[in-house]
Amino acid sequence: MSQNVDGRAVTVSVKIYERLLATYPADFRREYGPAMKQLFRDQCRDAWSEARGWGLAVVWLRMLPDLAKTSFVEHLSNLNQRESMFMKLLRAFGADPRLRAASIRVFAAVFIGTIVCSALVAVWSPRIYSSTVRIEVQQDPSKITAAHPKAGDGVDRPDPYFLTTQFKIIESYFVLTNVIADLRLNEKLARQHGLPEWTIDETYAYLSKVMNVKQTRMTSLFEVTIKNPDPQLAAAIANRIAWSYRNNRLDQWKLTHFGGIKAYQNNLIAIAQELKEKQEALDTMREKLGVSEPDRQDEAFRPYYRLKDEVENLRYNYRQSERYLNQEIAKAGHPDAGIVIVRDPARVEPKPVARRPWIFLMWMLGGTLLALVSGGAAAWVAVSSSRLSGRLGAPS
Amino acid sequence: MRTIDINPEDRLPLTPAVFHILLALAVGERHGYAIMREVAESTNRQVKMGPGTLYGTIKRLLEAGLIEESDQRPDAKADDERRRYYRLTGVGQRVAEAEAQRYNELAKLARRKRLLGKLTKTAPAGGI
Repeated sequence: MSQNVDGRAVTVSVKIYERLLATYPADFRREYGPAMKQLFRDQCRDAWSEARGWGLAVVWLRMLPDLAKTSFVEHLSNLNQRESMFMKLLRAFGADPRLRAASIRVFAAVFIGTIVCSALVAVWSPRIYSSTVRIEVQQDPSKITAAHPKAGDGVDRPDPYFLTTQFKIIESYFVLTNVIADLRLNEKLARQHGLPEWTIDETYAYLSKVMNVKQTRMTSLFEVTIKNPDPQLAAAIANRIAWSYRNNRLDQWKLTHFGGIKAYQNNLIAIAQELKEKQEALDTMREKLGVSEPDRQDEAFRPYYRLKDEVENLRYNYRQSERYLNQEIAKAGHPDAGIVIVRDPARVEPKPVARRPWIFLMWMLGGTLLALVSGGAAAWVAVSSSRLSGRLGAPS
Repeated sequence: MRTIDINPEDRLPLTPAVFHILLALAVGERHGYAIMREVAESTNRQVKMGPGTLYGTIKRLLEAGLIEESDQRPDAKADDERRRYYRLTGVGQRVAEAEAQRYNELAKLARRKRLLGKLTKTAPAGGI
């Protein structure tokens, strides 16, 4: 069958297959690649003449798994048969002192270069200061919030996820963007990085990275730590985060607390009204009976005493509620209401954060590995070159 | 090429792909695509080798000395010069015969166990 009667699809298929042959090991490809291509072309031509596109598709569907499997098998077989590069290197090192010397020179140069670089980075990198603010966070102990008309069921019960929630609120976009705006961090932090200004989102992303919030075990204390090259800015940011969080929580608390107080006041007014009505009814009843203090044991005066007991109970409830309400009103007027207290404001630290020794160890380890790889690569290149292989008599 | 002086039976059993290729070459030298078609036709298209399987197996058969490349072509004018022809070596012939004999013994055993009784009536010898 001549080339001009082939479908274009056959030609394209063969070209793609030719590219796919690259998945086989080079030795195998050199030896059998042309024959495999020829065979595939024959297959495609026959399939095309029999069933056109569908025939070609079937050929491809059969060929692809075969290609994947056999290229893997050939690579595996190649690895088993060929002398490993490691053994070649060992033989070459033993045979050629110049190769040995060259590899050691490359190793030493890369190792020293890495260590020098790490030392320079350590010296020139900016010193970082860390400031920490401690905040005490309490759940709202008041039950008056439950009196809020919109308070859900269980609002007066302890929330097991309370501290986790507060943790997230401290790191929240709302709290941090207030800090960014108050301290103009989008300008200050950007300038530290040589830029005129960042967007709020960029600044928020940066701030999230340099802040660390953790809870002191078995307490309601949170520690917010900020790291920055400027010790004053680090302290200012930490303190502002604490106050931004505090204000946010107080706003939320007041919203529900004052709503609760209002509802409670309305309730108290209703009790007072009921008390007034019942007291009047009691007075009227006493006048009708015509006695100042009837005998409690007398059956005829039983309704009077029933009403009198109700009035006493109502009065007692009213007084208790009034006292409780006054306490809650007083608490709402307190600056932190006892729910968020900034216990230990962040100070401007005079000393920078000490560099951790493991960072230097990592540099040393990384430098050694890099040097080993470079030295090995230099030797590999040398051994792989045909000139050196020939001279050393390494097997092909 | 390696010298093979080992007993052909030491190489048994052969993989199905190897045995099919040896069977295809038993009747004469063939190129890769002809081997592939022969295998497909002789097995009612139940065994279809891809190019990778075929030439990977051919490579191992060449290394083992069971087949060799042939310079002779049935019709040099009509054929593509790039095609490579293969044929069985003496060792390859003996290994293929030993494998066929092994299959024959297996078939006898199956008959004795009445696993091939009905099959032999409808598909006589050679159908395996």
